[in-house]
Amino acid sequence: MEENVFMTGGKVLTLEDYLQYDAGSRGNLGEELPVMVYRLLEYSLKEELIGQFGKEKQIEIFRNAGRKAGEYFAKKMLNLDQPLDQFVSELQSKMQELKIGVLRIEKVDEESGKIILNVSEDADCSGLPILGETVCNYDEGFIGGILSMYSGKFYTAVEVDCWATGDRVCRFHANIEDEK
Amino acid sequence: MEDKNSELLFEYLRSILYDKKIQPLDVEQLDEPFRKLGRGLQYFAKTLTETKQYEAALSRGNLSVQPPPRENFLCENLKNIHANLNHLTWQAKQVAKGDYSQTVSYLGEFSEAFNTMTQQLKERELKLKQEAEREKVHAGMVETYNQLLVEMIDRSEEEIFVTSADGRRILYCKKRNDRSIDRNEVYQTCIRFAQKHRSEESRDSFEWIWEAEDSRHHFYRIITGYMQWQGEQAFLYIIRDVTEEKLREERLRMEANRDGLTQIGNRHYFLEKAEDMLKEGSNLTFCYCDLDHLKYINDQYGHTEGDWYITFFVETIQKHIRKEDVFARIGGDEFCVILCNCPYEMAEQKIRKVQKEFSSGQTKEYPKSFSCGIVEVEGGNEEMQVRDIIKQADHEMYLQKKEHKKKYRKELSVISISED
Repeated sequence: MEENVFMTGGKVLTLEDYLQYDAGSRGNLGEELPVMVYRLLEYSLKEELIGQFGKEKQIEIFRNAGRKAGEYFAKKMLNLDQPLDQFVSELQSKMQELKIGVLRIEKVDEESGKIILNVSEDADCSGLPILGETVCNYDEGFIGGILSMYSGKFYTAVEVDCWATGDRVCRFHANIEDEK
Repeated sequence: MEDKNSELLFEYLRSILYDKKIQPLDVEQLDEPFRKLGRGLQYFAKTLTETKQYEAALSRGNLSVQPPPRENFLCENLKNIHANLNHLTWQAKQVAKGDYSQTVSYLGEFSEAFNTMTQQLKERELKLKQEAEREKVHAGMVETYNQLLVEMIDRSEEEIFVTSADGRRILYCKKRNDRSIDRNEVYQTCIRFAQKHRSEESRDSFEWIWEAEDSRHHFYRIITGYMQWQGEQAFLYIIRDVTEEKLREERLRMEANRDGLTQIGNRHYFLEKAEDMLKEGSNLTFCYCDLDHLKYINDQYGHTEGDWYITFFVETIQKHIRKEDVFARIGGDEFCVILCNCPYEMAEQKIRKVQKEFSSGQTKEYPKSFSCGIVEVEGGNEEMQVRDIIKQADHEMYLQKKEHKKKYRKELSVISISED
């Protein structure tokens, strides 16, 4: 078969490019998908990644992907030029609006920058059976990405409680770390 | 055997449920098939104890309590409540800092109450800000007006003086100098004014315009009114020195009543004075005088001479009348003297004397004379009008005038006296 010259030397699409999709392309079905479909994608991918690269690598990939998504989300959907409390308020309502989960801030240490927050009805894990370990690694990256983009400092978030550990909310501790 | 195991397990379960301190279970006392159940109950007792301690801490408002470990699933809802309380604490702190953008979701009636509260606080804050802004603008305007007022007061020649309603305290004085207040007679007059009027009622509608004079014969026009001074009733005095004004008025009044050449009263003055004197009911004698051949003198010797002739006549008359008598120029060559309490005969003698003196004094080429008609008006004659008296006196004067014409015809042979 002859080479299609139109397709050669094309640009490599970025996350941003992929998200510039045509909303009208789903004229009948609309914007929303059931959580089940989201989880189908997430957990099948997780299983495959564990299978191919091991659990540690899977966690790392999920966290990094989540961070990218968080950075994109913060940049594109939030006003980064406002005080923390107002920023959090906007983040809270945006996460609710997009049905990602119900974000609630529990504590903010303004000196150290440490933030304790929880997400209930989380899209990734709410209603999962007890597995004895946290599973929202993607969310960890997502939260870290958002806070990093807002503060200009490198934030990491660690999930300390999860549906999968028997809790009813996912609780995250976010801290400023030395940039890796 | 079954009874013993059941009894031990039941007693342990009872202790778990009801005892403050759970009585321990010795699993070794149980037979083998029951030991697993016993260990299960021990784990249950442990998690329940943790849960109770946790909920006790939360019920006391201790939000920094460490939750039981993850394995304790009994606590899942308590941990959720704990998380929510932490979140609400944070939200409340933000609201306290003035961030009213905070909202609470999915916490039932509390969410509604909280969100309504933040919304209302936001609206009130906005209203207060708007009000503060309006007040700021208003304050700016007031400040400007105040500056304008202060400037006007400073530049004004009027004194502003405010006393308490009883006059005991001086609340404002433009000069702000206690010594000058004590010395200032007008201020002291104002204070006495306040003390006199302090008991009057319906104060809001009261305003007085009055005048005062001090020992230096300075005159002041004072507008006094009630006002509110920092919540108390007070008297405001606007004091203007009208001395100059008064003198000017007096001068004008005098000028309006005076004949420019002779400086005696004019017709206007005469009529007013005559009316007053008639009203007073005094015995009056009107001597209506007409200078003879003034026109001749004017024509022959010029108006300066004519003016001298008039002035000389006036000076001559003035020598013979008293302070209380009235003398006025009521026309070009017409004059009138009102003699008080001077009977007709005496007046006639006096006029004759004056006529003689006028004719003989200051030698001139031309003869000097005047004609006079005399009318006596007795006091209490209310029917007599000035106009009628003049008319009558004029008639009398005319008789003498005719004689004088004859008398001086030869002397004034060139020009007919009748043209006078």
